[in-house]
Amino acid sequence: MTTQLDNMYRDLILDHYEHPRNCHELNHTDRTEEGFNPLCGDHVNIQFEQDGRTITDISVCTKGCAICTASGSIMSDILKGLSVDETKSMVENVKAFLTGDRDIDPADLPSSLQALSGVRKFPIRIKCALLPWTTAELALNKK
Amino acid sequence: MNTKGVIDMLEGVQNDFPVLKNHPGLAYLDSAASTQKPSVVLDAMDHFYRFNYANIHRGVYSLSEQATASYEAARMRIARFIHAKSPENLVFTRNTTESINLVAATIGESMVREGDEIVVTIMEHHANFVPWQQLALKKGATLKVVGIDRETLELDMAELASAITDKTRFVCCTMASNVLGATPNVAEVTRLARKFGALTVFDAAQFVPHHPLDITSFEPDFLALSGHKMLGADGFGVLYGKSEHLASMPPFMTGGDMIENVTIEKTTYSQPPQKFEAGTPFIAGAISLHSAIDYLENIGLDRIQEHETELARLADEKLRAMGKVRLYRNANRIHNGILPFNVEGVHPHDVATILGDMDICVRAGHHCAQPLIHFMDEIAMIRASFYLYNTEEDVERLVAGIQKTLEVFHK
Repeated sequence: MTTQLDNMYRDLILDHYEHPRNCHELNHTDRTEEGFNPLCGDHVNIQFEQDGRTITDISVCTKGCAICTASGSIMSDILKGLSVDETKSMVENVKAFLTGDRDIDPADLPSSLQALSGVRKFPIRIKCALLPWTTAELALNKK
Repeated sequence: MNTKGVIDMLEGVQNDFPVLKNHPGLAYLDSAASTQKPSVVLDAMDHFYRFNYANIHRGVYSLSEQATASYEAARMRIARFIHAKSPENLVFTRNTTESINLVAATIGESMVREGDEIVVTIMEHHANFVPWQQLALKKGATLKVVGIDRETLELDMAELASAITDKTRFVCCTMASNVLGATPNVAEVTRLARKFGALTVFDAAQFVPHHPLDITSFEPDFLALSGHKMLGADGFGVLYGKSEHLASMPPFMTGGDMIENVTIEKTTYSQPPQKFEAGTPFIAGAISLHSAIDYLENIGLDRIQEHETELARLADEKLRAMGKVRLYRNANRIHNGILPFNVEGVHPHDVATILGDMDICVRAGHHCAQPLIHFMDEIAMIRASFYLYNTEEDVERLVAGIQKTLEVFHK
């Protein structure tokens, strides 16, 4: 097995896969969105609880592969407490970081995201990692 | 026959397949998705393009006559392969999906009315499911889905028998499930359908690569297959239809090559099968399937079946012994070299990524059969599929790959 693959399935990923964070009921749901990856059957449900423009709580429930589940779990930790605008720009940066579309200094991103960097060597798996983020973006762009 | 004897029987066949020679160390276990091509098939296509190429059914020059003769010779060869009464029963399409869409969009469209029923099975590939679901929705008809027995993982024949009524217009059934490999009793399916005057549509895509097929034994109304699953080129498929249906069906697509006479006001159409073959077809595709059938029959489909079943049985035994692998098959039978499984606690897509990294090619996902995967309470599955060119070494590689997966996921 290649080192690249070892990098992708780091312990942090596996920990988030085995014990995904923040899949729970919210006091109230202000935005919600579902995402599907038809290729492998990944499914993610995202809910946001807001106080004005601040995300006070988030629920991310994933049924899917290790990469998608871990990505959603890591995302849920990162987004809680951010404003809607900060969240949108975070999502933009993470998408660019994962796809390599734009140069992003990893130092500008939360350190837990480094665990997902291994996926960049596996183009077909990038969309697994992206699914929670693109789904969050859809939720946030809803009026 | 002992295990070794069966597996050795097709030794050397790998050398006929350039992709396998060009990727030493590759364990190609995804033949149920598409097969690799032997040199003879590639040579037949190459020879056609280099020496005989011209459009068919048009030119009066000798090259076009030769091309037409090769194309029609393929039709005769495929007709003989499935024991069709006449080559004219065969319509050439792009694949099984197009073949079935053709039936749904022509005779399906004209026969199905509001309140009618269409019976399909839960085992269908989306190719033999979605066209019928959509036709039923469009017409206000009912789509009845027949399940499988959860113990044997075979089609529930009793449920099928009670699903078919005098309102049933079509019974659409796979001849071999692309997920489970299971092969329904098609003679019984046809008998039940005929009792109520329903037409049968069989998806033979996963069946014909592994078994001799004699359609006179069950007389389907329609039957579809794809060349690429049996060593032929991708993009070439076949629809068999009974003569009386083909004669009365409206065309599927209109345009070149399917007309008798065109005036500004109206068009009259050619006779079947040309009526259903609008536009320049994949001529080399037909030639490729002709050559592939020769190759397969020369080796012998029975031998191929024995070989692949033995490999799948060996893999089944070794994976079972690992304890953490759940295999989805009837304990007594492996069909069509297909082995569906999951690794406990690891998503199939992660398994396939780790295997892929070790040059082991398997399919992971819903296998274009989402209703079946949901019926079995799964999100996705891994499928290893064996064919004539696989070896015992491929089985060892698969087992080592699963072992590695368990290590990576600390299982």
